[in-house]
Amino acid sequence: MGSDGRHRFGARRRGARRALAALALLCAFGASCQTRRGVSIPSFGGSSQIAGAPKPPPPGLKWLAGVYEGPSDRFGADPVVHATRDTVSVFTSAAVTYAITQPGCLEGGTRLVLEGYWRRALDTSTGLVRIEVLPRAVAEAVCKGTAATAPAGALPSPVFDVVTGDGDALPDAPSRLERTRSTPPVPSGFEIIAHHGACRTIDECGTSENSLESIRAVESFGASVVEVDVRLTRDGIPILFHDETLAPRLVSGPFCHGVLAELPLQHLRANCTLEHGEQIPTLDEALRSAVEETELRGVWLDVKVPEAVRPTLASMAKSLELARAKGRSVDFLIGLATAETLEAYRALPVAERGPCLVELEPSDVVSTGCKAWAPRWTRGPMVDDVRAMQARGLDVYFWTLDEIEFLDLFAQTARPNGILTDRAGLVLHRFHTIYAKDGTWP
Amino acid sequence: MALRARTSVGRAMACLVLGFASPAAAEAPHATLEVDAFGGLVKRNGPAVAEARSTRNGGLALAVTVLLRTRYPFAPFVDVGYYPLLASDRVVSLDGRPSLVLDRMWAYGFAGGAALDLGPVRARFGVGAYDLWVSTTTTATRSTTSELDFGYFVGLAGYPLVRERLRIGLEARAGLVVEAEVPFFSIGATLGGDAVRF
Repeated sequence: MGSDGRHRFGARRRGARRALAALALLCAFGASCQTRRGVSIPSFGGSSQIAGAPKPPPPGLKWLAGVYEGPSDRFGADPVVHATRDTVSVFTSAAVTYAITQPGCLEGGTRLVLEGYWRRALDTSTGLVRIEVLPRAVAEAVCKGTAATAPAGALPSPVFDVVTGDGDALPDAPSRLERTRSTPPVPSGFEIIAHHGACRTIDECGTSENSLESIRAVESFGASVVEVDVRLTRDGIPILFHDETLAPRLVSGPFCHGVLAELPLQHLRANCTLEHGEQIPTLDEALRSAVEETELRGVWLDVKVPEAVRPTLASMAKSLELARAKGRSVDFLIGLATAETLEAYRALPVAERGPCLVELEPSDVVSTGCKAWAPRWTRGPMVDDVRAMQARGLDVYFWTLDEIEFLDLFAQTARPNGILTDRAGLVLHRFHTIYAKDGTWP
Repeated sequence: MALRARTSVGRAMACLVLGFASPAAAEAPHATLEVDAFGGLVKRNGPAVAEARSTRNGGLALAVTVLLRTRYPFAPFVDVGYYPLLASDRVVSLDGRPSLVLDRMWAYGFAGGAALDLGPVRARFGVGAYDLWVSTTTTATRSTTSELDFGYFVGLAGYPLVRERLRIGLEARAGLVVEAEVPFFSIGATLGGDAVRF
């Protein structure tokens, strides 16, 4: 090959290299433009059988609670049914699947039908679920509100005739669940604490984290206590929000950007909605909702900035008065996660302080006079420390445990007074099928 | 001897950083510091402003680039730009009362990266930071907030008019403010010149 040929070959090679380099640049840019994958929670819409149907009176549904038996492809071998005043939920450890349903009494209160959606928390699977509660004697007793007061053995065990579907399709896959034993409510010695509300926004359960809607839904997800995050607006109003900035993972709106603490509440509300369209709530609104619209036993207020400590305590005091006036017993705890928030709390006169929880060292809990210690799970079960705190009459809550292996390890070895989790239903399922059964808790 | 070895290592490292060309095959060292100015229309790609009485998507974007051309195919550059992204006025219900809300969003971009000349066409890719600003005014209050986010920058320019030290062309730019998920596109004229040759 002569020198001209070498030159042409070299030029072609350089040209190819440049073209490849340009392509690589475009690909790198394109790869950064991936959009988030959302989950749309399905609803029956016009195909609902229970639209407009009366709901059972409040205590009735709770009688349905218990450990059920399959076979059910969707809900595993031993699903746990959990009921609140107005919802019935099904939880299983299998692929962390759950169903949230609303009841409706049909045919003069002789039929009880539950409709809602199922969701697999580990992926994006979801679909509709319809359950007919059988036998009719059970349905009638629940709808008339007599089930809870019926003598033991007077009513047969409830049976769930379940039909599930995929996505928005009407349910068509039948299965049957039968209750093998009823379950009492989770005792107050073991709190299932929902992280940011019913679920994190990214876990797609139909509500946004730290929203009023999420607080209202939190019991149906199996929790007895809710943890929410508190920040302060520029005009000094405590609100529920996790991040320092208005991150698109939590909020949306063309002008919803920037640092939360630089914006007054009015501007936040003018420009931002939470991911599922809810308004960013103030702390007062959230605590009022927890007191008036739920039966939650506690609220853990994770204060993100030291400036929010004093206004949070003021809101707690107001809400405690409200709870007393409503005859409700709710434990409000201010969570002190950093040295700065702890310092801000300690700097307050004793009269202004309130029940607190510390995430730092056990000695900080004791020296500050707080009620609870909340270590991060990555520190390990720390059985001796947990026992020492419990011996002082203090509660211990681990955060944030979502995986079955770690949940079981921490619950069964450390035996804390509660677990903060993104999967309250999973913890409830493990509690009723394993922890309470093996004598870990009475 | 030691000096020659250090020079070889330096050339090899420069080769790794700046491109693929073999230093051995290269011509005599020659570098040019180029300064480009850009002016054009920018458009934000995103959701429409709901309930807006009026909306202005984009505006006049301005940017300056400093680029170092060498014998290597990739030319490092830094780019500083101003991008007016969105403005609107809306009537929104605040505290139960209808209120006029004026919003404005703009960004300052600071990017660094590599440019590749393919004949009269120049492709550029960079990463850097965008300082994203939002200003909101209601009857009673005005607030301004900003966040500094990681971002990407891509530019594609063509230069139909080239004189010895001057080039005039058209350029399309795209930017992405990653954390805020704000993409924008801009098209306009670019005027470049060789400021220093050495």
